[in-house]
Amino acid sequence: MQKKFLDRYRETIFKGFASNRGIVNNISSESIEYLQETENPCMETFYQAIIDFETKKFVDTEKPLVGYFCSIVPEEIIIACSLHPVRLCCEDQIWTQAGEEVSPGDICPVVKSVCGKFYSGFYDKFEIVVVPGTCDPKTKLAEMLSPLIDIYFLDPGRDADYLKNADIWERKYRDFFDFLKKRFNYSAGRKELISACQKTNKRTEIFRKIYQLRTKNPDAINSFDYYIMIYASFFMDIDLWNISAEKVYKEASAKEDKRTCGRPKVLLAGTPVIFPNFKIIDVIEKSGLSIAADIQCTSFGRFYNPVEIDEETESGLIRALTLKNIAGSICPCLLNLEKMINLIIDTVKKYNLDGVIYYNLRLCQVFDIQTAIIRQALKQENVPFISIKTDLSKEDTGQLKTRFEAFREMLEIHSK
Amino acid sequence: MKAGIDIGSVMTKCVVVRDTQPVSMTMSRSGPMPEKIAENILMEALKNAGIEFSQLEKIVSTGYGRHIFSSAHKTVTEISAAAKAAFHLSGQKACLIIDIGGQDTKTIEVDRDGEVVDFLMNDKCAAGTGRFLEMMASVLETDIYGLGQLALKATKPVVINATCSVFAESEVVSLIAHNEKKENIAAGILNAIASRISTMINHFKRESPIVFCGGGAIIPGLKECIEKVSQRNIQILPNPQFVVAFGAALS
Repeated sequence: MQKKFLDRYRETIFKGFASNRGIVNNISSESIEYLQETENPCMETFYQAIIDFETKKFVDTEKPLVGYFCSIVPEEIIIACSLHPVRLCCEDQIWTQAGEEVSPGDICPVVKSVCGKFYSGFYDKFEIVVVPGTCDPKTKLAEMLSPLIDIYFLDPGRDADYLKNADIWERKYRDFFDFLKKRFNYSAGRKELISACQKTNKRTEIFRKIYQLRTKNPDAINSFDYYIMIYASFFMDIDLWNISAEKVYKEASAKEDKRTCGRPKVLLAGTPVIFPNFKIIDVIEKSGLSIAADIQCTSFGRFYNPVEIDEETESGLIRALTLKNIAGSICPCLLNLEKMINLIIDTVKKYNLDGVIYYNLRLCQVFDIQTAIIRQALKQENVPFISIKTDLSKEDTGQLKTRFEAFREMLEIHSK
Repeated sequence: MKAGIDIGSVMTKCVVVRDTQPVSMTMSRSGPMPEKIAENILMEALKNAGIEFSQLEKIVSTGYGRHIFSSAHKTVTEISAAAKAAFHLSGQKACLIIDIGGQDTKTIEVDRDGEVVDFLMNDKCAAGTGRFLEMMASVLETDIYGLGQLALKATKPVVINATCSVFAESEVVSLIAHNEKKENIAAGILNAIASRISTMINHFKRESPIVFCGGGAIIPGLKECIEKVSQRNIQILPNPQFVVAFGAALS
């Protein structure tokens, strides 16, 4: 099933928009070899959503499209304004190549990919893009994209201390809410915010069930499908995602008892894995390890915490959103390293995981810069740790495999 | 009798052991057909030891080509194999291994039970690996052994700033163009790699003795360079190029 999906995806790419631009010459997803032939019809909605997205049938909606980056941008506010949020984070070698025509080679691959997509006209149906000031490349991305599309720059600052910054964040989110309402001439308030929060909270509820199921048995929903679901959530209608993910969970949990995972279970932290750049999960799984949990901004960081509403006033709701999206953020751009370390250690202990893989996508320096501190902290707790730095190309899969197999051998000895 | 075969990116090595003693060692460049080379050197090693193929109880392959050697009964990574051998060769004591191979440089922490507890390797970039040294030696029109010999005669080693092999090569070419003595450039190259290794060493506990293996260990003066930069004593393991193959045979 997964192989069939990838064939469809490749066919779409080769015939599709990128191909017309003459920029299809390397598809990183080709490196995926651990895929299963097993049928999982529940995943079809997600596969089709990706195919549709690649063919620019972004969503089946009349709602205006609002692009955004990073988990600190509150999807709930976009949804409350009856707009369709699309997370634009992209790690696709096709688009990085296109992006290098307008940006330097040695910068963040996400920025390059996004530039490639915008400058090629892929996102011409979008009304506006919300760019957060979370890291320097994103800040400059706002300026790089401004000749092509309207930009809203949302800068929460880099201090993640809620008590110090609650008022500032509330103002920034309120300004954003007011801006969207005015820009799209839409009247929204408390009621619409509550409805949007209910949708994302429902998603959190389903995601938590999937996450916890995979910590016990990662094979129940394998890593490929798990990250496909995460990626599809970037652009799928949230209600459709919730219904489809619930189905996947129900099917997987029903089969749970029949499956076993004899491989060491690892936590994947660091740079987010975004389709089609699945090289890292492919090599990890082929090396005999199982990704049983992750701490990434695209999945755990975005979905795990609900919006906790204390008071159902507009102000109370907006504060609850800042608490979830900024104070609760695990983005390394913010001052929250201690929180990240504690989260890794707690997750490993809570789910009885065997080790931690910390993934650095080359040129994403904010993740890389904290590697040594995390390594030391985990060592003190006797948590086996390996950090890996790689890029979007496929040439180093042999080297990566040696590292992951050695890590597996180490974990197997330790677990005896 | 057991055999360990280390199919590396540059050299393929074979060690045949009786109990835990090496009885025969052979080596050849890996080349474009590493499996064929591996078979050849295994046969040669058996011949040198005067034993038949059928007398082998087990063949264990390791190194980059570990999965392509179909005659192997088992594969292990070069990290586990190095740990096995180093623990055996250093008298069953905890140690920190430096292994400079063709494509990878590794530092491996082995505990008092002989188990790998942590390891660090270079990333995709070749800087700090045997490949880097080969590239630099080639610019100086010598091989890695000659590079070490040149470095020993240096009077005033230059400082190589680049951490990237490609940039370092440009820097070396530029130094040659400025009539810098080859000896001083060679010493600068060894210092650059020693500095990288030293950084890796410092990630680990200071109490464990350091042992050195891999092709990098045969370069004259490199051990001393690393000792000087890291301020630590280092012991080169016997037959350093064969250590990983030996470890595979013990696995």
